[in-house]
Formats: sequence, C-alpha cells, structure tokens
Amino acid sequence: MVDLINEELLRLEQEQDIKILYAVESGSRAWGFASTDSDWDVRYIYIHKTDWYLSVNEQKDSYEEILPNDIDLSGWELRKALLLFKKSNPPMLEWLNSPIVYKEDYSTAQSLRSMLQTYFRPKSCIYHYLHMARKNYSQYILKDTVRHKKYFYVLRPVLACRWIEEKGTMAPVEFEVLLNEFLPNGPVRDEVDKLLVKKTAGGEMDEGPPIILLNDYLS
Amino acid sequence: MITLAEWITYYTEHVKDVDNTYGPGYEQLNELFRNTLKEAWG
Repeated sequence: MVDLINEELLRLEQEQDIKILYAVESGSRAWGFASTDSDWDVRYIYIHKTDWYLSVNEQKDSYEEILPNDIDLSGWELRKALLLFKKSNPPMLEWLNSPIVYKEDYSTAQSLRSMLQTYFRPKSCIYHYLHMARKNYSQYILKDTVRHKKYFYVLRPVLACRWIEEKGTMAPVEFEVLLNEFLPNGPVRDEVDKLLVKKTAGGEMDEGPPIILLNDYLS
Repeated sequence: MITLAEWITYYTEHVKDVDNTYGPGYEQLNELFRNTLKEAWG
C-alpha cells in the first residue's frame, strides 16, 4: 500500500504541476488504533511554481480526492499550511509529528518542527481536543450499543488535553504514548488494552454493548 | 481517580483561562516560504 500511495503522490505532482513537500498518514493509523478496514488518510503539503503566487485572482489552496482503494488524499498549499501553523492548528501540528511519513524530500517540515514550540498555543489545541471529546462522549458513548472506536475518540483527546496542560507541549500523535503516561496500568488500562485488540483486529463499524468498567470511568 | 467526564467538565470551565497569546509574527514563516520556493523549484 505504501508504494501505491507514493505512486499517487507522484501522479498528483505531475498532474497538477506541484511539488509535494511532505506527506504523512493521519487519523487512526497514525494514532495506532486502525481497524483492518480503516481508510488510508494521506495528508500532504504542496507548493506551486512561483507564477501561481503572482496571480490577482484567488485560487484554490487545497485538494481532496478519495480513491476507490480506500486511499483518502487531502493536501494543503504551503501558504495555507503556514497560516494554520501560525494559528497553532492542531491537525497541522499532528501532521508534523505523524509517525508514518510517506514523503519528506525538502527541509520545510523539519524547519516547521524546529519552530513548533514557539508557535504552539495550548488554548487552541485544548479547545480542539475538548470539542472532539465532548462531541463523541455525548453522541456515542451513552448508548445501548457503542462502536468500539468511539471510546478511543473520547479517551485520546482527553488524555491529549492532560498532556498539553501538564507538559506545555503538543500532545504526541500516538495513543499508546498517552496511555503509558496517564494510564500505565490498572483495571481501566487492562480494559483499554482489550478494546484495542478488538478494534485493531475488527472492522471500523464493529460495536458492542457498553463496557461497564470503561463506562464507570467515563461517567 | 478523576473520571474522564470530570476532565471534560474541568477543561470546559478551565480552557478560557489558558494563555492564548499569539506567537511570533510572519517574518520567520515568510522566510521559510521563500526558501521553500527556491528549494523546490530553483
């Protein structure tokens, strides 16, 4: 699949006359709890030729394409990416720290990583994770049947908030790092580990009755 | 042990107090943009 993704990135460069500076996996595969049928969420930053920037009219600064083989491509033009970086946009910061990198042929991503702590703003990141946790908690956890992944969509953002507040840095992308920091052992961790095994061995839509121990922890 | 629900409540109330001063200006980012144009296209 990695070869296929790299072929698609090359195709995009040729078709659109751009250079892809940086391409990574985001979402559940990067977080470490992908199911067997999870999409491949490829995110990338690209740059046009100089002439593109010398135009009066506004031009599209992003690109999205979903391919039939579960590859979801989404890219941001560099200037857009830099403006979001300046605002400490959490997805942008997560891209820079993704553990799965498909392409990094230029120094841009490394330069941004070196400036990350300077531009990092805890509040905008905590808001982002808080919104994600609240939405998933209220809409999906308090039901008779719960999709396995929804537990992770609450646990990960809340643990990310804790990381940001306690350490003053952007939270790590990998869920396991957060777990090891804040839930290193104990019955709740055991239950999370069991659910992780189910989630990674099953499908995206797999669900089951609420997990009593986790729901007690969540309620 | 604090529950996740309590954490959510805590952050909902607490987030407004978190510092949100914006970072440095555009100079470094402008320079990075120009350098990347050169690096990518010569």
